[in-house]
Amino acid sequence: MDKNALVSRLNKIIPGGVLETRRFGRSENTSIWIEAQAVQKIAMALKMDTEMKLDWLENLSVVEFEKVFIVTYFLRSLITRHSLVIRASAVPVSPGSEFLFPSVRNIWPMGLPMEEEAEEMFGIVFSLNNETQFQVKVNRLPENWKGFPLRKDYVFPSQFEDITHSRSFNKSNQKKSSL
Amino acid sequence: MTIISSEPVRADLTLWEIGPYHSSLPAPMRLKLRLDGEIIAQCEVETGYLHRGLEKACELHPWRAAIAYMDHLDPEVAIFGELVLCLAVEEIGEIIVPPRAQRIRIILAELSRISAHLVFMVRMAKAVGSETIVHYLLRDRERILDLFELVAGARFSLNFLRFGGVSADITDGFIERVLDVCDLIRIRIKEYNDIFTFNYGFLKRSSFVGKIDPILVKSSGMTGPNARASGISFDVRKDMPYIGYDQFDFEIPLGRGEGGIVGDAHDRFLLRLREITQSMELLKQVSDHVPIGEFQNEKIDKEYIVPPGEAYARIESSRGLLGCHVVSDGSPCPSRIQLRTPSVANLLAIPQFVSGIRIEDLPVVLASLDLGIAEADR
Repeated sequence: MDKNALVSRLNKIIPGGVLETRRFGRSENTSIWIEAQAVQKIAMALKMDTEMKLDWLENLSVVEFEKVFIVTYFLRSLITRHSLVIRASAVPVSPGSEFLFPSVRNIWPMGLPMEEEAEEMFGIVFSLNNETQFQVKVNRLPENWKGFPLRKDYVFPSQFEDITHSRSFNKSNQKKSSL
Repeated sequence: MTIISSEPVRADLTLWEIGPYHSSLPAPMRLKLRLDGEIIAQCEVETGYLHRGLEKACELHPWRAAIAYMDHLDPEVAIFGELVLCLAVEEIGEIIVPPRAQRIRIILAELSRISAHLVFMVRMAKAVGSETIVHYLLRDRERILDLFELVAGARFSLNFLRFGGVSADITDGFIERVLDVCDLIRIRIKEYNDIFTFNYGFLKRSSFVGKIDPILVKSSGMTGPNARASGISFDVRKDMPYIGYDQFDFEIPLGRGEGGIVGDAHDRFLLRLREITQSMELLKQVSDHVPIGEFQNEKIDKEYIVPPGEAYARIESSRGLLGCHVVSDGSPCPSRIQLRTPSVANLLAIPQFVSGIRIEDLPVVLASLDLGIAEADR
């Protein structure tokens, strides 16, 4: 698979959609960084691409790095056996707040549970039509739980309803003790 | 996770809510069924009752402790969680794993696969109310757990793999014991077939029931034995070989619809039975090629800190593709460990294919999916 040819094809369909290509890890293929607003169009283009036919969203992972949220899509084709990693980033308007990000669940239906999990754990609301409604579905966490646990600035509550605990969850302490 | 049927809700149907705790469910989950008489018309699945914050827990502890946490991804098949994390970390750190350790890993992974499939058969037997075979299966599974205890000192949460190898070498006679267990199970499979697999009652309960269409397999992202039973040929061990699987000769069984049709509950059962045979063949090959040498990369000690970087590793667990995205910022704790578990896709498919089946078939269909709620909820 020629990655440069693919990038030029994508650039023709969505001008300015592809930002850059970077190596992902050491053994994985190149990752393509794309504009967050172009996620849906590029996802559709990759699924429909006659050479790639990326019909399977294998995984969707969210990573927070220096207050920037990076959404990584691990794509694969069951027909052509090609694989690709695409990535897009977004920053919340204010720390601790939810923010919208384009959803791909209409393109790859298997993305629905992955997006729902990211919504709950990171406060990223995956939206199909840039809806402004911030409604994070709560499934894993208790109904009245505050905050998004997988964010780096998340502070564990010392009390939840009638349950209290005194255990320290300070990561920096863990670092010192392990050193 | 709440998976809702795409069809509009009909008011003339009876509403049944099953769970979160019910004897017909494999683990805590809730099913909201709308019944037209005894036929399931619509289904909603709700999970999340077993969420333990596993990914967050990994971020709060040193790298070495993350291996122990990964045991709890699915305690029944602990080795797969450990393995996928080790592979990702070894890619970031460019850690060379000694060949002996690779072979030990394959042996443990295939033993875990056999063990998991035996437990699957237990669930199927319980779902159809066949008690006799349950005891036979658990008796034979004990022999595999004995092997785990022999090599790791534990029967379930092994905590045995390490970055760059395994925590201890296998003892003298371990390989012979593995082969003995394989020989025993090979004989017992004939016994299972006589008592259970082609039993008239079991065939009537599981054949032509819960057929999963290949289109649904693709749209839901299903992998593993459930997808292969529907005719989708994908196995990470063959398609993206790891820990040296490409050096061995083995076949990937596909659903053949022997008892009923391709992709039904009985086909999923038969496929796992064939996978047990395949794993035993693989174990036999591997046991002839366990080289003498180191079992752990000497440069990697328990204080090892993973250098900055990221990697994505994937393996074939007993339920399908298990992926792990690991990010390190060079600190003593992981920056992010994200897991892609196969049971999430299986749960996603449930509302699509249970519509139209009879309510009494639901426990058999659920058991035939081999759902791992522990790994789905994390």
